[in-house]
Amino acid sequence: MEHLTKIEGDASVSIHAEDGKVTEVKFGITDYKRFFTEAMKGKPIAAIPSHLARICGTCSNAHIMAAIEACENALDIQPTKQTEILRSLTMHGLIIRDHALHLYLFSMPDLFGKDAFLDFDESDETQHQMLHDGFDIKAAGNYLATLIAGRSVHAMYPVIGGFLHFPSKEGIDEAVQKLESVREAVLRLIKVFQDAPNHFDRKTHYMALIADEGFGYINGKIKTSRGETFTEGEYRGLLEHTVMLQSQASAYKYKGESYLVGALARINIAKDNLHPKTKESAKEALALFPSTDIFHNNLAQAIEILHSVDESLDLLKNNTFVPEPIIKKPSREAIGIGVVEAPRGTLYHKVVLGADGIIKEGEVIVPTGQNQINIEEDIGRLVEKLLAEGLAEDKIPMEIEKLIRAYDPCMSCGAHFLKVNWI
Amino acid sequence: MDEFDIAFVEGAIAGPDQEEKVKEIRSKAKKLVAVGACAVVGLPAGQRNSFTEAQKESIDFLITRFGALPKVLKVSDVVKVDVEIPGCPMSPEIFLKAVDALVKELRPNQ
Repeated sequence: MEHLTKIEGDASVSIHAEDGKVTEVKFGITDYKRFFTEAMKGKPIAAIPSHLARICGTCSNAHIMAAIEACENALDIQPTKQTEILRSLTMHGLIIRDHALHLYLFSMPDLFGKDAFLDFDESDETQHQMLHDGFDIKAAGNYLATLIAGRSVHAMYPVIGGFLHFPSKEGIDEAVQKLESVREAVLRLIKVFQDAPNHFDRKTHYMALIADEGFGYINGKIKTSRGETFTEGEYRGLLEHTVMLQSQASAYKYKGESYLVGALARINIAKDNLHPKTKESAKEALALFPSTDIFHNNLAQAIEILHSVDESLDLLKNNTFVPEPIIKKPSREAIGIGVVEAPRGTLYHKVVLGADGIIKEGEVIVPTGQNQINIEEDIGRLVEKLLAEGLAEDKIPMEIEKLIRAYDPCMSCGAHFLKVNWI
Repeated sequence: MDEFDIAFVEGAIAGPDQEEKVKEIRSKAKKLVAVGACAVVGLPAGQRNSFTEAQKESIDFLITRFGALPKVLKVSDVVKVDVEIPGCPMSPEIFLKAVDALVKELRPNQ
């Protein structure tokens, strides 16, 4: 009997296969619904970012950024240049920590034939190095997020209109030192995923929010792999809501077809916008993109960690931060939209504000919901491929779990569930 | 499921399967620690408990479809909890102090 070793989320898969052909795949997110969009109704707008942050205990700060953007959009607040830099740093801290969590703790054990990262063998040189690298990189990301935003989860400093607290010179110096000291570890991480043996090729459409300049996670335009460009405001119109009855999360299609969001989509579309140092150090790995191999989502995340390290170092060294007042504007009847790139992909928040400052309704579309259909279709094709290659049936669930982990759904540990019905 | 010296449970109880699971965990654990606001006070996961009648009606088809409990429960509604670590996020300091104390209690001679 499988037991969950990590503590995020739950999913189930049931597969029906007959004579080597997969006749049905059902992938569902089984975490019970918590009805955040219903619970938003009736709350004052100031409460929204910290409320919606609680949707997730790992990419929480991405929800805060999206919610603040939506609320500022509704109130017609333009953040200052410094606020935008602090928000970028918040996102970089998140990317470093969250991608490192996924790559070291969720994906890497598969590469070493271990159940858990903490089972790594300290007497083995490589595994010992990975153990220390993983915690060092996570610590650097945590430190940056705590310095800039107050906490790496459910951050308190970012609010509608600005920040409540500003980083000290000592804090910044320490952040710089920590980030510089982990750069080598990130290069090792990139090499590990560049050389990783698993591959699953499948053509699909991609979508991501791409900055007008540089490679960031907060502002920009939605770009697709079909070469189209849309504004943040147009994003919702692109998504066709699809009900997957077995799943507690909504699924989406674009122009009738499934699509992918996340690091793979971002690197595929905009790798040329990465920090010059990142492009230089990760040249070999970047040559593999654009890629249709879903396992390259792991490699794309490792590259993004490097970019966030390089970009944060520039932002920290080239700016001085001074206390600024929070920008306040009167409430009004309005709709506000916020779109950001969370670690796992494009995140969309919408708020409908009343003149009394109370939220009437809202909408949240999370990246994992958008990847659900792709995950389900990929599982079906993978199983057929493995059956055709003659892999023993009892080895197949593990291969499916590795594929699902490559997507980094916001419920990786839920991958220890597999129930395969063989007919 | 094996025996536990200490079982850490996070999250609220939203479905009958979760209720069963946490009872099984309690029966096999020397100590059970409820971690975080959802486990300790049932919020924010249990926010639907205070929805208006109209709101409850509008989500009822989903509660039925997935067989969720009529009310979201906190862990202590279902089983005895030995230690609570409150907070959202949970407090790392309280967590470390609590785990330290539990380990000393379970292994007094080490």
